[in-house]
Amino acid sequence: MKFLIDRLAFRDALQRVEMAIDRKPTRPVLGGVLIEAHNDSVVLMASDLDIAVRYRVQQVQVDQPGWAVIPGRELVDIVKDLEAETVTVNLKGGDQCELMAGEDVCDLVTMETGMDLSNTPEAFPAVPMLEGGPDLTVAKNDFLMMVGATRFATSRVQDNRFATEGVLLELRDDTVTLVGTDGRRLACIHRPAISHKADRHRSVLLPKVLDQILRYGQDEDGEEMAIHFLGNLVGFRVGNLESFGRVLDREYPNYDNVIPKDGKHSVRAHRESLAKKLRLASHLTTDAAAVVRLEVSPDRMEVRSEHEGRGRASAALEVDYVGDGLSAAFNPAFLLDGLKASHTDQIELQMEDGNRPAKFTLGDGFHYVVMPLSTTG
Amino acid sequence: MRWNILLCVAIEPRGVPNSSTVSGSASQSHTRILALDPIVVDQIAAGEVVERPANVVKELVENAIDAGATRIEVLLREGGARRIEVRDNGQGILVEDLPLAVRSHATSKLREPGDLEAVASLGFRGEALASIASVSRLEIISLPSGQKDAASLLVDFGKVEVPRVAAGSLGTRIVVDDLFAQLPARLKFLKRASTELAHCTAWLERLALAHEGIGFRLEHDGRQLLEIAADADLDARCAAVYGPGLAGRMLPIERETGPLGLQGRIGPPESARRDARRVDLFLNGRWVRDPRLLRAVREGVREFVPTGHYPTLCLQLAIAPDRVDVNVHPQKTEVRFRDERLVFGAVLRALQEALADSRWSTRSIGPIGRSGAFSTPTTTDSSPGSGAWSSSSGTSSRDFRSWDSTGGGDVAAAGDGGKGEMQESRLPLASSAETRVVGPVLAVANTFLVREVEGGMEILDQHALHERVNLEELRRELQQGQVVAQPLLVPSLVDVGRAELNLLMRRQKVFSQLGVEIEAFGENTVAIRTVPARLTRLVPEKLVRDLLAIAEENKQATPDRIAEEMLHSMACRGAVMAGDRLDAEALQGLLERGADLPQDRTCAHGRPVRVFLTIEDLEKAFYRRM
Repeated sequence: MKFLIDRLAFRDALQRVEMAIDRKPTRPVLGGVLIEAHNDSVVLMASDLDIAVRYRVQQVQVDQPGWAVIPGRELVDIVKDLEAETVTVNLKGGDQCELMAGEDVCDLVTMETGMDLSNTPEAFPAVPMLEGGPDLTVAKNDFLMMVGATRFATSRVQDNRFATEGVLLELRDDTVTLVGTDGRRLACIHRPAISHKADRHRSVLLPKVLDQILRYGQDEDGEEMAIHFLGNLVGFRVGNLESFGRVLDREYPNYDNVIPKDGKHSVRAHRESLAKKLRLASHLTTDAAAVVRLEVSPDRMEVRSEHEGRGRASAALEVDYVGDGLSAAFNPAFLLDGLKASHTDQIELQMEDGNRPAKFTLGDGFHYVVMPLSTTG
Repeated sequence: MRWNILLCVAIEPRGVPNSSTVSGSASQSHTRILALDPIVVDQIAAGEVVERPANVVKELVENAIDAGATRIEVLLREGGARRIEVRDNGQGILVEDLPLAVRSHATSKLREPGDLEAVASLGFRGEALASIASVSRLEIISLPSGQKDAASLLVDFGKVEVPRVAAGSLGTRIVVDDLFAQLPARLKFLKRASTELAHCTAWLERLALAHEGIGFRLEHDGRQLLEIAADADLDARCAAVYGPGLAGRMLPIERETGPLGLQGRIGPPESARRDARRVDLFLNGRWVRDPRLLRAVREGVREFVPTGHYPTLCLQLAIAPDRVDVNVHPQKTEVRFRDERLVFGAVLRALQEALADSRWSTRSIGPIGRSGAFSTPTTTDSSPGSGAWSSSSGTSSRDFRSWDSTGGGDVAAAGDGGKGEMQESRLPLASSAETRVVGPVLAVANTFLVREVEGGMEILDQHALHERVNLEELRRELQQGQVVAQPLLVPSLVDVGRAELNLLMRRQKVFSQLGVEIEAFGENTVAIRTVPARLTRLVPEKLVRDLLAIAEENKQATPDRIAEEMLHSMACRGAVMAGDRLDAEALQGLLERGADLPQDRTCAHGRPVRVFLTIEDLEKAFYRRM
């Protein structure tokens, strides 16, 4: 294997697969990057079994096809710090892979190599080929926004019963839905599918693959996100980037039942001013069990907080509300999370009463349900 | 084992003649049932009371105390195995009573059955002297006031001789020679003289702590080991027993709860050790080692002393004799209370109160000890990030020691002079409120927070600090009835056994006070409706397991007790862990919350939250100061 590659293109490609390099590999090969030199392109792959990434680079000149698995972290760091415009990658005899850039030369010890591209590596995990048409396509910008709107609400700890540390991806009636919840709040967003093969689909994805797509998907050419359902994996393709995420096989809560249909009280507020008032009030809450109380009266909302021994805050803003008043306590961080993910200037809060779930509408097809807090005694 | 050996002695034919004449027709091959010789009976009984010289010391000194002595001297030879001599200036024994004194179940301390209900004296069973007399060569020389001459009675391994006139001063002198000399099986179990001496000393110290107004002196092979004047107060007695350094830092305990009075002294957390050897509990002047009382001690200090450690403690419980049964165990170290809960609770609160008022500088670590928490073997590789520490501390290992749990225990075990406590820090007492923070914060290994404070530097354990912060905040919220609960979108269902479900439901009310609302969902599933809002990382299933463990271990406990257990569990569960990366804001927030705490020295499990190094400590580490 020998090829000449544009250094920046190489660096960027490695950045895209970096998240899939296992930092604490159980098998050494999981800490490696598989480089395949084809006649017209170089393909980089990494997999830690939770997430796999394949990235194709065209800015190359391949002298000799072949493949090699090279220590991933070292490769990423070295290419970052090389200075020349191009890098020559040359698989020498033995188990050395030479990286040459201008005057600088680094030899990396390979983990596995092969001359023949039809002979796939033995130890390196197989990354599926995305062949045939996708099962589902969604507008790329829609999809990235959907991830941003739900990822934050996922649980940070693993529950044995429900796969709430993951994000639910659902296809139903031409609509794609993403849901994230940690049992205390739930974010749910719908977008129309551009095309789909299957009528219905449901899988819970580890958030890591979505984080990777959110980070690098925007830079890729192409307006569509192609999604392939591959059994225990889901594959995403946009531009030259192919990302694969493991599917969690535990149940996911029935989100439909959690989202209230509507509420007796309906409050419309300006997103940015509500966020400002919430931030202000949250300065005077105890850090661990932060509570703000929203007091809504006709056309006015007051955000109140109190920190024993430090003081209290009361911030008011104008809202659209008609009714006999509403009062509910919330964790301000939960509300601010939602407002940050929102992509609209006017948000709506619907609530039956102060003890029932609050439904925020934070954009087109974007609902965020938060359970208000209660105090004992 | 011991019983078997003694019974073998018993069926040798020495006490047989009477019975053999009556039962002449019995077959020779039968092992006959015989009444034991009274001396053998006493020897067997002695097994319960007298195991080693220390028991003899204890029994004889207690007799002296019961006799109203104000000065008691104990002279030992060869750890007491050769000779134990106890002299007192008490009321003495009348010459005509001398033979009775060495008969079993003869006592001057009980008169009628009703007296047993309210035993006020230390001894009462009438066993001790007879038991000792049966296994040693015992001489009593006594001169009661009003009697002209002192009388002496000799008992040679159970054989009582006739009292003789002897020379003696007012009071009683008892000499026990050659303990167990004729009982090789017992003799074999005696340890080295130094070990036996340590046990004797421990008993005398205990008795000295409990009996103000009585002077004690201990001499071994002609060397004086202990001298306490009759007018020495409790502080002076603690100084004699625990060492003046520790005694000076001990805190007073003073509490009256209904019929129960408590007073004593408790040592600082750094004097804690893994065994309970320095826990001296006295009930009406009697040293007791009651498992339930020890548990109350552990509970009382749990927030100040690392888990599994015991404080240095001298605690005297005074309660009307009719409210306690001391006749449970031959050595009288176990007792039974009429109202156990009252005693338990009073001990617990007395310790908590005493420690809560304390202003010890447990944060300081003195330039003391041998290898310490900071020592890193200079030859081994240090992990990245700790390099700076290990290189500087390699030289300082002789100088520094934190009072962390292992350190405390090790030092206690290896401590000099047998006092077993850590050496006193030379730093002035300081509390967090008095410490001005100067510099920025550095997180080491995502676990320890290092910062400059006035007069030196401080190292905090982020988990321990957060745990303590959580505990104090939660407790305050609970006291105000204001625990914030986060209802779940969908009640979380956790499968439990039927019995477990019942156990949980019984505690439903107290759980809900702390923000955990549960409901039975079918016969073996519990539904959790709300969780405490501050436990954002909580997994309901784990919470249920925790609650079950708490309910299981405290089946009879009051709701308050359950709540306290929950507080500890939740404080720990809700805290950041060692190794969790905290961003600057979170760090600052945690430190600020930590600064407001009423108690910030130890985490809820008694491990230290912070360790303080003075400039002087650092100078010493770098040999800028010798």
